[in-house]
Amino acid sequence: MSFTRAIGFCTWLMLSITLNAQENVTGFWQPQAALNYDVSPTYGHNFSIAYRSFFLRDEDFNFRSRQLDLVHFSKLVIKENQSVALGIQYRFRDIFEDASNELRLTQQFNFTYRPITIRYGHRFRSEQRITTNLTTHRFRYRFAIDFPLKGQKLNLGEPYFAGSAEQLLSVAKGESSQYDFRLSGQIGWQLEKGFKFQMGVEYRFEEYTAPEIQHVIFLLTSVQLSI
Amino acid sequence: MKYKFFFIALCLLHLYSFGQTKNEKEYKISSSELPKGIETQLSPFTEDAKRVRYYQEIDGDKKSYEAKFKKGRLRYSVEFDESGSLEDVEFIIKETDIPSESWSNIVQYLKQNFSKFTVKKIQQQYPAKDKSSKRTLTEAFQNLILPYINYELIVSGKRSKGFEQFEILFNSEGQFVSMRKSIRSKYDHVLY
Repeated sequence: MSFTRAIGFCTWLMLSITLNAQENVTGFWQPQAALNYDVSPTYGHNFSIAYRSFFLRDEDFNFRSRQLDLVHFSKLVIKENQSVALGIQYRFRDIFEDASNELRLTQQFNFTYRPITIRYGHRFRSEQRITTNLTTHRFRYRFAIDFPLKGQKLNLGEPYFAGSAEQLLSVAKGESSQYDFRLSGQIGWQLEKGFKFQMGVEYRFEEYTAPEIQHVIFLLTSVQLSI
Repeated sequence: MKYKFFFIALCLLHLYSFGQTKNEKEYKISSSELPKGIETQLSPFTEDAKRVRYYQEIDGDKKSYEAKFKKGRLRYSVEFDESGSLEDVEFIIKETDIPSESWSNIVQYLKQNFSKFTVKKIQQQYPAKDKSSKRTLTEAFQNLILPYINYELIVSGKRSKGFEQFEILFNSEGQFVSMRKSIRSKYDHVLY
C-alpha cells in the first residue's frame, strides 16, 4: 500500500511540476495495441499500432491527432534472460500535420534479472530514424522494473507495476547532439492468460542540455495479447 | 460478413488463451484468514522475523497456506495444508551451502538433461513427513543438514523446445527426486 501511495505521490508531483510550467509543456495521449507470439521456442514476433494525439499544446488543452505508428519487432532469445531484436517502424505524420513521415530501424539487446519478486531489466537500443531530409542516429539505454502488486506471483485479474528510466542520445549530420531523459510508471492488469491492459504516465525531459528544456508528458494506455 | 469472421476469430483466440491457463494461483491473505493453529505453531520461530506475509495457494484441487518471512539473513517459506498441518519448511541458500558431493551429483544430473542451464534459485527443504511439526520447524530453523532434507532448484534449462523453467527436487545426496515445469511470467509488456 505504501508503494502505491509513493507512485501516486510521484505522479502528482510530476504532473504538478510540468503543468505549472506550461509554456514548455506538451501533453500527449497515446493508446496502443500490441500482439506478441512465438514463431519457435527461441524466436518471436511483436506487432503493434500506436496513435498519438495532443491534449496540451501551447497552453491549450485540446485533442489533435499527431501521428500513427506501425511497428514490428523480431526477437531472438539467446539465453533464458537475454534477447536480441530487430525492429522496423513506420510513422505516419503527413496525414495529420505538415511534417515528414519516418522510417525507423531498431537494433536491441535486452537483459533481465529477477532475484525474488522484482524483475530488473536493462535494454540497449540503437536506432536509425530516416525522414525525407535527415537521418538521425539514436542510442538508448533503459532500466526497467516490474513486479506484481499482490503477492509474489501474478495471477489472473491481478495488477502489476512496470516502471522505467531511459537515457537517449541523438546525433545527426549538421545537428547538435540531443540528450533526452524519460521516466515512466504504469499499472497493468493480467486480465486473461496472455491478455494485459496497462495505463500510466511518462515524463520526457527533452533536450535537457539545451537552453530551453522541453517537458513532455504522455498519458499511456495499452492492450497486449500474447499467444 | 467481415465482422462475423472477426468475431469468430476473437472467440477462438479467447478460447485458446483460456485453454492454456495454468491452474496455480497465489493470493496474499491476512493472518486472520489462516486456519487455526498455524500462527501458534509458527509464533516461537517468528518473533524476530521481518516482512512476514501470508499466502493461500491453489494448485488444481489442492489448497495450501504459506508463510514467507525474513529471519536473520535467510528468507523462509513455511507451507501448511488446508487443515493447518505443516507440510514443509524451505529457505533460500547458495550452491556453496550444499555439501560438495551432493552438489556435484546435482550438476551432473543437470548436464545430462539440459544442453544449457542456469540455476536461478536453490531452497533447502525440510518435509514434515511423519515427524511432529515442532521438531521439523526446530531442525529447519537451526539450519541442520540432515539425511531427510531436500534441495529444490528453480532451473532455466535449454532442451529441444528452447529455454524453459523447471522446479527440480533432489534429496540430500543430490539424487534426482522429481521435476515439474513452471511457467515464467512474460516480459512482452515491458520489452517494447
